[in-house]
Amino acid sequence: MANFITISSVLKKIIIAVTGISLFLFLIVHLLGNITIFTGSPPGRDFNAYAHFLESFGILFTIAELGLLGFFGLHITTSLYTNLINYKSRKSRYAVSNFAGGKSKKTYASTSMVITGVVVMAFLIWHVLQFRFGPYYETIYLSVNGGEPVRDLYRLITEEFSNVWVVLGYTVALSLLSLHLGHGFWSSFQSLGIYGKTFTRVTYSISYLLGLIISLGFLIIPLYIFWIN
Amino acid sequence: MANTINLKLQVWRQESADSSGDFHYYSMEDVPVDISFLEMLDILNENLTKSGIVPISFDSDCREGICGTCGFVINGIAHGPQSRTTVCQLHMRHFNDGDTLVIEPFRATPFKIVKDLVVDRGSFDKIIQAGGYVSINTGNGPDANSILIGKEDAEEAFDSAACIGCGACVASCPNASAALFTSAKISHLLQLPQGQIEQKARVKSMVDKMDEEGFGACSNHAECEAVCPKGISIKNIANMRRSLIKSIVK
Repeated sequence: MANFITISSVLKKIIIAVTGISLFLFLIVHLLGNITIFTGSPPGRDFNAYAHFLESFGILFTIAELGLLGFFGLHITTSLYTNLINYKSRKSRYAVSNFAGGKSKKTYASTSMVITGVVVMAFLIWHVLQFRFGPYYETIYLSVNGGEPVRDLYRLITEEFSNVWVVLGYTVALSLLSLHLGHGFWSSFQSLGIYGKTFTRVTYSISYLLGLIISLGFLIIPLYIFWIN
Repeated sequence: MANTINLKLQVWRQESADSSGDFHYYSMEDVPVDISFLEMLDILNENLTKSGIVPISFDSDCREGICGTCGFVINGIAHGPQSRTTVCQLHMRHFNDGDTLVIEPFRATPFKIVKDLVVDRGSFDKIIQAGGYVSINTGNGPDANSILIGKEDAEEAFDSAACIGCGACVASCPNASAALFTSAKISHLLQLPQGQIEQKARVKSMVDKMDEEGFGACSNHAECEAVCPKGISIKNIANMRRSLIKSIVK
């Protein structure tokens, strides 16, 4: 790590790709966990039980959280540094820029990765402060934690997502996330040197769709909570 | 059937590398649609010379799309709107009467503007000098067919070797990355037995040189492939990355 700055641009992109794909997988796990919001009776029982189950890993859970933080940190710092180099590599800008079409995969999403990335980063800080480090409510379920109190995260999300501005903020951030993932998914494989005529065509053609599906999957929750309240 | 068109040109004029440039506006009337873009500029230059204005400088040599000397950006696309075409082979029939064309030089920090539309692409030579060759012991030329190469390998290597080094990839890249150019050469030699021996050192040295010259990092926009007059694929960039990983891991 000592010579992090001096490693080649190709290796920097490989770091961005490996961390990017890992974070993509994390999003899928996160999304699957969120399904518990819609199940269980009374509402929120399964969700709180799931959150408690994760916390019950104790030190392992903390290590996983720190690991995740590390992946985000590496992804963000490497990307920002690379972006700085890229900016310097064209000091005089074009008066007109355009899209060549054809084989090009240049889109508004691909050229604004740093913007969508920074917005998503700001969103994540907000999101973590809002829930992970948000108000601590407790509730008791007879069938969870042996009848001892557990954190009532469901109450917290219900409160937060009753606020129209919060829901609006999530909508904007998740829309941008969809664009970020749209270019990021297929691009990660290309950055790792994984290219195949069919493989690349398939990953590229599903990339923006996957981004959209994941974002919509997350967005359903604030919209649903807002709707039922 | 109209076989001439009228155009409005907005051309980047810059005295020298150190001076600051700006756009100059010219009107072109009755441009024959069958001439090439460079011939259109030739006509403009003749008119400018007659009016006592310094003609626009631009690079060109073979004018048949194979040497890689010409190249500038037309309305935000390197080598203009026609795919797999250099500006010398781009004909005026691809433009409409009354079009406004913004003509700019290839812009990238390593490509210093020499004058007007002429840029110094010496950085490409330095990347090639860093490893884009095969070392051989001098002596007689080797026998033809002494090393047999499969048809498919030969074709793949030739596709990579088709790069003419015009610099459109750098010019069109949002990051001004030279990944397509560098990887085409690395990939060309990687696919032939003669290139295997020095591959590890070559990929590292050429990638380092590319960074050192001040080119950006590739973000997989693939705009380079779309503007490349020879249609060099971003598959080469993937080959370069794999080769670099292999050179570190093994």
